[in-house]
Amino acid sequence: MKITFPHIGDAHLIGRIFFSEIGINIVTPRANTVKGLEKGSEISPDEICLPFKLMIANLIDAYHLGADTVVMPATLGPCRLGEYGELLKSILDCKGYRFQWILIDSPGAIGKKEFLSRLAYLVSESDKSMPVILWALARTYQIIKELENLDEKAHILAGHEKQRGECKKVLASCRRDLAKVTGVREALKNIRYHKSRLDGIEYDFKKRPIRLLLTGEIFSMIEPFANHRIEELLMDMGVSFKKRVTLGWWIRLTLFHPILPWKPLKSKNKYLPYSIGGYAKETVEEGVLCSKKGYDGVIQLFPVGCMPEIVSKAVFSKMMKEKGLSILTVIYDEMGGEAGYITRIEAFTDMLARRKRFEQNQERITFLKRIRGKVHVLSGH
Amino acid sequence: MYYLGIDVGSVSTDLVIINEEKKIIDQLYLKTMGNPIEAVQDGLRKLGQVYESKEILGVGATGSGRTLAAFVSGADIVKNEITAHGVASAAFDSDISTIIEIGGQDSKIILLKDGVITDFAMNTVCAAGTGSFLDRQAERLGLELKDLGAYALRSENPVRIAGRCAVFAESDIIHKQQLGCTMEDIIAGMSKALVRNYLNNVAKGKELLPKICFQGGVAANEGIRKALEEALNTEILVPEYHKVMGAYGSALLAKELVKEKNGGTEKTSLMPCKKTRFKGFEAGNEDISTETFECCDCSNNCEVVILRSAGQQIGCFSDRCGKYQLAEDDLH
Amino acid sequence: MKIGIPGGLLYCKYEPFIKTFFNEMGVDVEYSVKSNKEILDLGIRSCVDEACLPMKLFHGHTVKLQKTCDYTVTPRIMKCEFGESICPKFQGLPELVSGGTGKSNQIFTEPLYINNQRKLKKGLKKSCRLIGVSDRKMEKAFCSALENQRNTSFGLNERDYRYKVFLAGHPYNIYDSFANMNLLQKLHDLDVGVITEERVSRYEKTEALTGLIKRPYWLFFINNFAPAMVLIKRKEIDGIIYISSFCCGTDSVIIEMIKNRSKGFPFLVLKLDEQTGEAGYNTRIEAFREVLN
Repeated sequence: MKITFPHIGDAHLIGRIFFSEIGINIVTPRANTVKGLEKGSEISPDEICLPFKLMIANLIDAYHLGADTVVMPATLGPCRLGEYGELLKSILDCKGYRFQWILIDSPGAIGKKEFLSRLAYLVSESDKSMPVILWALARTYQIIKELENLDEKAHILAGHEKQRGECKKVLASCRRDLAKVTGVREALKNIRYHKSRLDGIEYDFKKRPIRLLLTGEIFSMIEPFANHRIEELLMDMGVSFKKRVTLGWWIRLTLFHPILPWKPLKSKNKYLPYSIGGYAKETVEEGVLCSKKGYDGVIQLFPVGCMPEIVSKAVFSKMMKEKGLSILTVIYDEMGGEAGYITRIEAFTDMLARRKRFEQNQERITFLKRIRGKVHVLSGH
Repeated sequence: MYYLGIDVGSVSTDLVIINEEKKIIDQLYLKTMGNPIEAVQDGLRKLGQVYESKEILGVGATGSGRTLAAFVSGADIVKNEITAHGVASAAFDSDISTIIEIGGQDSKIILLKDGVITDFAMNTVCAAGTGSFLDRQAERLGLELKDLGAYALRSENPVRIAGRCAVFAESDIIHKQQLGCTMEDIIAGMSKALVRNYLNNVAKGKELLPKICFQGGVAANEGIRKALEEALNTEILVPEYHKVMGAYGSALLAKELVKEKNGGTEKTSLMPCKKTRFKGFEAGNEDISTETFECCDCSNNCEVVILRSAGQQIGCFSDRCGKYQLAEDDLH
Repeated sequence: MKIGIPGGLLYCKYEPFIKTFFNEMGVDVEYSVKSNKEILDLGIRSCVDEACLPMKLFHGHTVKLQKTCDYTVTPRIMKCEFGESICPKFQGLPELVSGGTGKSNQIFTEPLYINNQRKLKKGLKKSCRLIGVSDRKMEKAFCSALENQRNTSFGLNERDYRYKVFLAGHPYNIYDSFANMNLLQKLHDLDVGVITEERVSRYEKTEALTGLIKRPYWLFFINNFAPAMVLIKRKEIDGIIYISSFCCGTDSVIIEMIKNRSKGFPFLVLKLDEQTGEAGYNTRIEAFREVLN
């Protein structure tokens, strides 16, 4: 059994570490490229969302590299992601790529027992004992969390760095090294090393960079190819930003949440009170959070035709009016040129920066006026 | 002492020279003709006949080809066109609250408050609401682009044309022609469709407060302006320099930058302490070549474009990792 | 107080229920007129740009009613009769409408689980209290509305034509003659009759779904994919016409699945958009008729 799965951000980086720890080889398809996307678009239905086109290209690539089993995450609808597995199988079968399919559906949909048995099948070829596998699993989750912490820290510090691009370099080098490590322990060591490197950079904490919240459809949040490397783009612009929708976030929400008895506290949100599939509810919650925590703006990202995020776009437009939030909605498709994309994001950060400066100036002026007024009163006496 | 602004768009390349009082001294409106490098160089050559390089204190570049323009001319500030248009309009008339900008490839709306951009949007769907669509239709109808406005104004009974998608709109126009509608009515209908599309797509959910300013290449078209006025039921201002507002804005940004670098004092003309990166108008005569190749050093397989002038690299695009980029100091 | 009931989306499917329900309760209601150009224009102006044609029409109906009514009904259907879901936009319909039209006077926005009578009643009851209908009155109306809905038969199975096609798609596209540009009439003129999914029994549909790796959860997946398989197998039809809204998320999957499973069977996909030109639309239908020969 040679396992593969489509690219979703760092999933392959981490999946490789986990499976090599328990002695299973996985096949990593080549990273997403424009050419791969073209190939994927060729055999996918026209109006399907972008993640599908990328994933199908990944799987074909993996097939040529010798993979025979696909592990596919699936969710409980009603967003299209839940039907991805079915459609992928149908199209790939027609084209002659025969795979074995393991759908990792959320435990809420197929029951805990079935869920666990599918997981057990996944690791059935490992020669390691169950406790070792579980240990590796726990450690892998730790890797995900620590890597996320590193990312988060770097994203915020990027606005303060004295030499532009330092934080970005640390993240890139961390990922490069992670692609080479052989085991869980080494991976953790590597992440910690890069954390210390991040601390060693020179920062200017007097700077007040604009603070953004990045949110939107999950695949475009996690996979850098899909979002045109928005994280690097923002770091290059010297923006401090936060992105809460990550791989670990998804694991906590879909896998842990139904299995484990305790439930994470959910923030109430009057703008979209019910889950409508996909992660639209969560996206909106992020927006509400942003208005409370003093961010300057929100960037919402989603691929053309994403059904749940269309609703959250409508909700966001309402929030913009009611709460005075600044929200930029970026919708991209495979044809969309990068130029317009960058222009929009640049213009948005520019707008926020100029406004912030204007407000600060205004504050200073009123402050000066107030002081002058006081002086005047004093001298009058 | 002057500042230069360059706006490289899909259809036109504009250059503007302003003085210390933010007044436009000179302007050039050139067709890009698919060759932005040549267009920028042409502009520099033309301006070089009138001005001296050392008179220029700062250069700003904007438009979709802003990075390229910056490599060719050595701009001090490279800003997107939305910021540039906002800054330009605020300087032109501080009461402007809404900017409608329809250019060759994209259309935008920019909302201002107290001269600061508060919100903006760009077209998402396709090119149906933009200048190149009009350009193409004018060509298909066998008319000059500049005559479209006059035709639209003569119409008494504009026909309804589906306007959201350029391809559908075109087939609808052909259909209406085959039904025997007059040219005037079709062109007026097309203008209306373009405006409707703009208001439904780009300006959706935005509050368009007066004064409304209409700029970009399409603003010259009287028919579109009239259709906009009818749809919004208010007067619409078309600034004298509507075609070069982007370039004007980037010149203003350059001026702002120079002022900032000099510690906020206005007296830059007397003692310019920071030197501009401007290469001089001679850059118009440089022999610039481009080289495109696929870099296979990592899995990204970027298609890298390198710009060279007399064998020396002056700039580079599309390398994700940044390894072909020149270091900051090498640039000057 | 006047309540407006927009005639868009699944109204066509639940018309008997809705009409009896509000009649029995004696509430002052206004039903919207059939879709037309004006409604479409209103919808395009207010709805999120990326949404599909039926959503825009629903927005149009709502905006038109908002002018004369105090409240408009905007149901949030979470699950259908057998626990299927529809599309995220249905579940977030109240948010979509209030965000788009800028008015928050939507009622009946409680989640509705049609597969669970008790829950459904509970969901409706809350809103009924809001408009001052007593629980007793509501329950009585609910029962007769439910009965009326059950006693009404839906669907088409036309036998008097030379050819017969399976007309697939979402009910609001099939039964809205404005949205589909009089498709039925056009087909009849070409001597083509239609059969719709309602005429295939639930049992047969379930049978046809075996062999998939996952039980589908979309109503329209089950109601289009399964009947297509059944009718092809029964050799009852000459072809399939699928009317689909442009950029419909669910259809992109369903159409591909049907295509892959019905290799070579005459299959026409008609895309509906607010700007579909009628000329090209007619050409396609006529050409398809030739294929049936």
